[in-house]
Amino acid sequence: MEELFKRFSEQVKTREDLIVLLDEIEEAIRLAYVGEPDVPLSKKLAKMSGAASEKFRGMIEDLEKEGEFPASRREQNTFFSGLKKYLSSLPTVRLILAFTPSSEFLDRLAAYLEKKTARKIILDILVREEIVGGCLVEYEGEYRDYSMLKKLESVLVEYSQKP
Amino acid sequence: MRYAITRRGNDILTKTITVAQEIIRNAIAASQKNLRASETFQEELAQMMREGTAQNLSESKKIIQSATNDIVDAYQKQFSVLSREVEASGRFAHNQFLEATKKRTDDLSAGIQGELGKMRQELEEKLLAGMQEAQAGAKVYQEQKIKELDAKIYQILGEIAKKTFGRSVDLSTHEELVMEALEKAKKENLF
Repeated sequence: MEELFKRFSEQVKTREDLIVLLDEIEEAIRLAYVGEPDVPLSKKLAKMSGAASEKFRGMIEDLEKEGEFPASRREQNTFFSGLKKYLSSLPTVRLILAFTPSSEFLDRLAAYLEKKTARKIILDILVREEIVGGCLVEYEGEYRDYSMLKKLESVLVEYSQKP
Repeated sequence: MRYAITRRGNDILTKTITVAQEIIRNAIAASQKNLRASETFQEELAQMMREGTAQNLSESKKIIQSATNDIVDAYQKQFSVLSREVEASGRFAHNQFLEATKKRTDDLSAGIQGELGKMRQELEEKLLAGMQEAQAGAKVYQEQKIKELDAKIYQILGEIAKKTFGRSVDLSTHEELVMEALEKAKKENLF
């Protein structure tokens, strides 16, 4: 089951992506109990709009075709509950940047961090222009400030301590 | 005969009248005498009564005077004794009161001195604690103000940096700075 969950998590890079996916799961749970029980969930999800929804629906459809997706409503509910729990437990790296990152740079960051930590990582990106450059990193309760503002402050402190 | 009888009757009547007159005169005289005696006796009796009354009154006055004097003397003596006793008791009570007052005053004096000493000590301790608290508060305030000042300086510095060379940093440089930072974090075992 965890392999299936990982396939969903691969579609998630940022905290915003995770929130959207969790909303989609909630909607899928609701739709599972609407209409005829024999109708595949992917058909019901077709009513949902937006690219992200289409991606989610596509994944459900693939699983249905592969025969990996549970057929009964109760099993589907259990599947989605497990998926929500798995996604919510993924570790988050918070990065405070001085600029708004592009999608490509987010991919680069996610790939780098997943390689270094050997774990699936959710990026929580905040933009604060006043840090000038560099970034602030927070991971599992640890915090580091690698911003240019911090460097400037260090220079200022050093300068102020000179006789 | 008839005449004789009449005459005899007249004689008898005359004699009777005479006798009657005599009796009446005697009776009147006796009555007058008795009346005079009675008046005399009344006068004497009144006199005696007056004298007796006067005498009684005089004697009564004397008795009352004497009794009054006796009573007054007795009361004077009694009061004299009582006064002395009261005076003695008063003097005793006065002395007792003075002694008790003196003792109480001494006790209070000692108590007040103790309390004053204690109050002074407490006041000194409170003043010292207050001074220490004020100094600590001043220090905290000073540190707080310095922190606020620092924060303000850094904020201004950030604003200046952002407006000057922040804009000159292009996107690729930003990205490289971030990747360098992550490399540094890895070296520091952050992850």
